[in-house]
Amino acid sequence: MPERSAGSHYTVSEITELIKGTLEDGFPWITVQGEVSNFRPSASGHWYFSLKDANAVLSVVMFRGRLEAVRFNPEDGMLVTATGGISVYPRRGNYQLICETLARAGQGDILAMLEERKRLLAAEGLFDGSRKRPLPLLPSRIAVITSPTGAAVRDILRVLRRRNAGMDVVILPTPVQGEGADERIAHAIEIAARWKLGEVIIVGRGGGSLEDLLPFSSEIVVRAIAASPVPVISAVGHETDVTLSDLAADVRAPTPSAAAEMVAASASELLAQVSGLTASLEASLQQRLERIRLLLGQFTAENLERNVRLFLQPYLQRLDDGREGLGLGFNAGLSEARHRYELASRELASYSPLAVLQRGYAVVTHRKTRTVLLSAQGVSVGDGLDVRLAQGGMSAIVEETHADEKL
Amino acid sequence: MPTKSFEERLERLEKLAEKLREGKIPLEEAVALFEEGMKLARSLEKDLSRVERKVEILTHEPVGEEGEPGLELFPELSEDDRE
Repeated sequence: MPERSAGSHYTVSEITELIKGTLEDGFPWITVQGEVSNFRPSASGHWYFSLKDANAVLSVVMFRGRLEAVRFNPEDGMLVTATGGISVYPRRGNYQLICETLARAGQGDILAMLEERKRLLAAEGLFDGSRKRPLPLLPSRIAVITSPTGAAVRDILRVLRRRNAGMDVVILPTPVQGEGADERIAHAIEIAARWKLGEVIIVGRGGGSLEDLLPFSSEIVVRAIAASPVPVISAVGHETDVTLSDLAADVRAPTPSAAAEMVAASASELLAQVSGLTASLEASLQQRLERIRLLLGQFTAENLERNVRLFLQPYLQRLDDGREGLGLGFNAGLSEARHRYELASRELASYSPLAVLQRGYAVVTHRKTRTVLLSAQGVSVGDGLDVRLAQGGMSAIVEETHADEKL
Repeated sequence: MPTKSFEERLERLEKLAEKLREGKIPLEEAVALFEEGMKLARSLEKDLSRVERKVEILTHEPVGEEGEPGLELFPELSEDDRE
């Protein structure tokens, strides 16, 4: 290949010639699989379209002469395999695949492509279980991304109504098959999440062929689901259809109806749960109050009286015993005292001068000195004496005195 | 939403039921928790018994950061609702 030395330059034609040679020699006969896009038969009868995938586009031309062998009418969004050679057009500065044969991608081809895509996306962790989030228990609004005229949206609304689920719904109308559907679906997911059009997003459609469902296995939709901050339910086709969006979503619903059931089912369970908790609260408090009531119940008037009585009983007993003992002791003491008193009284009585007088004795008083005489000494003949007897008295004059006589 | 989410309220109610079940809290607090729990239960039941709903369809996307999404009521076709 002729090259210029460093420092010099190519002309446009030169470099284009080089490119043309490189490409045409490098890819004289290749088979490319991709999605038909921008299909436009020209007036001349040739077919012009593009083949695309998630990241690139290849222009294709199929000349009129080759068209009879094609057994189908290509449509945008279809997966096809095109066989031919690359051709470079210097005047336009672009390149094309000159397609000699065109075939629809068979089921096998499609599945193989999906397997490969699944492998690559799984390797990025987009399908990891750890990324799955739980659905909100009672969303007040859900966003539904589907065709506004398809069966899916009707099924979802019908199920929600039947369940008496009082949740608002926002429908984001999107095409669910064909070319461009994948971009629209991905965009709708972004809008729904960014503008909070629902606390849950349902992405889905009714049943269809493998090709019909392809947009839901596209890389762009998978990435949009994985990036959504709002939980996503993927509800595509029938039970047996599994798309890559099913793997990327937080929850897979086998059908759109099932998705609606999932969102609404919790209502009755939750109601039961709340009832249960209410009952538990009431029971706990009731139990508490019952215990207290039992405790308080012991404080009735009768119980109180009985308890006081019980409490006082020993004291009362002791009081009675004490009182009795006191009484006995007192009486005993009293008799003794009385006895002593009487003895003393009698004794005292015996000392009474009156008693002495009654025994025959007299009290003699010297008239002059006024003293009671105990002795004859000091008494002279002729002294006056007062004599006191038990009864009456007299005055006397002393005739004579004498000393003691033995009586 | 001004009120706490359904989950948060439900979790609080569960916690209250558990606390009350344990029975270790003073009576005055127990009554306060019971009242809070019953109030929560009533609000949750109210949410759960909500039947009214609004179905809308996005008619145009919001323009720019400040724009609002255009929403219109979605006509629910009654012929399909026969069950």
